[in-house]
Amino acid sequence: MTDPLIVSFPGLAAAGYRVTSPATVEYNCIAWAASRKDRWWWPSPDGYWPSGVPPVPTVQAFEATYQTLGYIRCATDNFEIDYEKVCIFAHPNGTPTHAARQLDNGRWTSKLGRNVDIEHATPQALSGRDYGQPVLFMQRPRSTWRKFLALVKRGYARFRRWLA
Amino acid sequence: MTTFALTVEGPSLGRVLSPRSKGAGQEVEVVERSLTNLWLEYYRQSRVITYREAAMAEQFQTLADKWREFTRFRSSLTEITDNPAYRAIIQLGDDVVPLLLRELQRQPEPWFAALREITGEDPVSPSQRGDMRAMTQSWLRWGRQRRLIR
Repeated sequence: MTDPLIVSFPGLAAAGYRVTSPATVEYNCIAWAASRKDRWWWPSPDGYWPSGVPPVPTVQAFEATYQTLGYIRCATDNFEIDYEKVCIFAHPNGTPTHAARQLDNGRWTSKLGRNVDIEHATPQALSGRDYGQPVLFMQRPRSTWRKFLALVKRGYARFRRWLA
Repeated sequence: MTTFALTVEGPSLGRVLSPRSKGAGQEVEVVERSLTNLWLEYYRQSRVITYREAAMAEQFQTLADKWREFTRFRSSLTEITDNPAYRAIIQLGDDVVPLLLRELQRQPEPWFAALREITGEDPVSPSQRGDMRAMTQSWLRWGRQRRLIR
């Protein structure tokens, strides 16, 4: 049987992915990247949108949304122990479509619309017809406790790879 | 002794077609024939409404399935509500409102834009925006107040 996730996101076939939560309509990827699970974030009459941010579907407005959470623009999606990162996707016409958040183990997490949350290796694994491409990376300082957690998780992930 | 039963509830079709008052006087026969014609008309109309509702429900489900298929991984409410199947559901008009509300009773989904566009009303308060469960409850309350759903 064909995996509908692989059909929509062929990049997941090579890089692999793991479903990390059941499907729900209670939140979307923009909220999930902001570490929130109680609202559907979108600049529309039916979505939540932070006050003070222009309610328009542009990459600039999405950047401003994550700026309210302390994120600033950065150059790459590389894992850095001092920073946690998010990534914004957009169609070629510039319309934002999706956001993903980097986990402490260096992999990425995405909520797929009204569907499931997944953990995936890179943001680029979700590139394609539905989400377009990653167009903007943002970062904010990681707390000392989260740095420690990140070190442990990455060390454990490397150990498992070495064992395999 | 003549016996005949009049009921305000829908009789079985067999009873409508076979009145009980054989042997009754002419007046009773006239009354019964009128009542029979009334019930036949009632049956004819109720069947037409049922077929119409069934056709509408089938059309709605086909469109809703298409919409779910194409938008299941989408986060953009703009893309979700601009989808051609979603727009076609809105084009079905007032008759589709009870079906949308029944879908919301089954599970929260972003049918709010369609309901707003068709009815011209918005029972959702600004503080509920993005909270799909709260928005669903507001629309269901609205539907119950208008007796569109139970």
